[in-house]
Amino acid sequence: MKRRSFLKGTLATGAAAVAVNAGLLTPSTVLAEWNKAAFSAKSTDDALNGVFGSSATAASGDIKLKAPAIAENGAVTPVTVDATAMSGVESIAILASKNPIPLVCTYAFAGSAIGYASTRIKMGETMNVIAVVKAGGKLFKAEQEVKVTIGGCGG
Amino acid sequence: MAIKIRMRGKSKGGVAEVKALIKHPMESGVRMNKKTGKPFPAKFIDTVTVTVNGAAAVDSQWSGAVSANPYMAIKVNANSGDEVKLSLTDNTGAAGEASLKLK
Amino acid sequence: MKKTLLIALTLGVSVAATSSMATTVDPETDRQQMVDFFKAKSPKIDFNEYKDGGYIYSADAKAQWEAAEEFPPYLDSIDAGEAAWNKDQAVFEKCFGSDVSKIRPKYPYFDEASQEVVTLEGSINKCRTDAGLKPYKWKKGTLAQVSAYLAYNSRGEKVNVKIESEGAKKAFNEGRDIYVNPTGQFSLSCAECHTYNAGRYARADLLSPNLGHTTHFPVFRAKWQNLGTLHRRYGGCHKNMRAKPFKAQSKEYRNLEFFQAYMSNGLEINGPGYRK
Repeated sequence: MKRRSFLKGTLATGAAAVAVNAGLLTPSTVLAEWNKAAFSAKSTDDALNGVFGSSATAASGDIKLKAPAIAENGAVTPVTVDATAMSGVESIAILASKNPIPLVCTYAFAGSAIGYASTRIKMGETMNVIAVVKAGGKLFKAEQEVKVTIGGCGG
Repeated sequence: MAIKIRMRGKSKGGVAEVKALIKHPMESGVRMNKKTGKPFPAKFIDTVTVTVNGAAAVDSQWSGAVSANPYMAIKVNANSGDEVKLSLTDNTGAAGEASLKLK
Repeated sequence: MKKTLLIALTLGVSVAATSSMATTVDPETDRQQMVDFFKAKSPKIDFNEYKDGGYIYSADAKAQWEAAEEFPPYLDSIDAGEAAWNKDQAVFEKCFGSDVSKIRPKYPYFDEASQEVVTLEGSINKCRTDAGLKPYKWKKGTLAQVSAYLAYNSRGEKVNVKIESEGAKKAFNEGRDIYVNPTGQFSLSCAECHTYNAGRYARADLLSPNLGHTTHFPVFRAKWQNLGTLHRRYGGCHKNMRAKPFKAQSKEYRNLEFFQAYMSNGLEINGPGYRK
């Protein structure tokens, strides 16, 4: 699977190529390679190490994690991480504690972006959704249990 | 074929929430095809980038655990009229992009 | 002995247990009693909220639903429906007129000439076959998309099914019988879950009230990651309840739809809807 290599200028797809050629993305805004190590990690600690180089997180009440108490459909669980109350937010990672691969997605912020991300994720069973925020060089965490049920009568 | 993206963005008080709805199966590569006994091949969006007036804003990486036909929202400090561009690729090399001027 | 729904429920007795298999009730009386029943069951829920289905019973579920409806996945289906409509526009306009906001609210209706209930989906395909075009499949695909397009354009219009003849009244009662009579391996009736136990959980599913059942169809179910028509859902539910499903657009399901739509009179049309 050929990974997009920004620096080498060999781009497998059109979008980034157009952006580079148009001078819209400069080398200082290098797009990182897809983090295969983190996205293959089977434990949340390994995933965090893969993303941030550390898994030492401190719980923070400043992270507003919004996820349902009971997921209507585990395959489409809405999750919102709002770290706008924190300063110096660099990135957010969303993990699903019991998924075979816990790391679901990461968001790295630059320029005008604010520490906020909202998405819908797949959760295979009742587990915790974990939001890890890197702010001011430190890692902070918020987590919440989401109940996932199967075997309703509605089919 | 380009990946289809719907985008919305409105600025209020200097902050804009940009929302996107993307048409994509987001096949993780783990789901089994009961007929063949083999998993459906992985086909999922793996990178999403957002720029504002050409400057990098969000660089996002996904796994196949993001839901099918994914929804994504991010926030930027931007005003009405600013141009937001979203580009994405999937693990098979398909790509898509969309842009808008914030309301 | 003829037992009205409300009396039976007040006594805590299942209607099906003591009523004969085929009953004849006055539709408007029956509908008003059902509305009163739901009002008594949930005094804080306003009548107009019933168009939102089971979500009125759970804030957590409703929040998830609203998150999805904010930027809903069925937008593509509506566009596809519009494209399909425009593709055969001349044919469709001859049958339905050119105002797409006025079509959905007309259905279902009882056609005196044929003494049959006519549904929107049925009319769409009849229009096609009459003009020599291939009919769409009944439960999903293009038919659902066209139905979604028409429903979307009629949002805000009220459900207004008319019963003005003995024939229509008979169709209503036949649909009602399907709704209240127990069937299948579990000997359950639609009423058991969707009237008597609406708002409660059947294992992991929150039971939706039948008041408002038809307003938000066709539905985009997260489970299907696709649209489906009302008759698709009827069949699916019957199958899940281990009862033999009727065929989509069969007389039985058309009568059931007629009964259910009439019972939702006065509520806003808000299709297509997103569901779990």
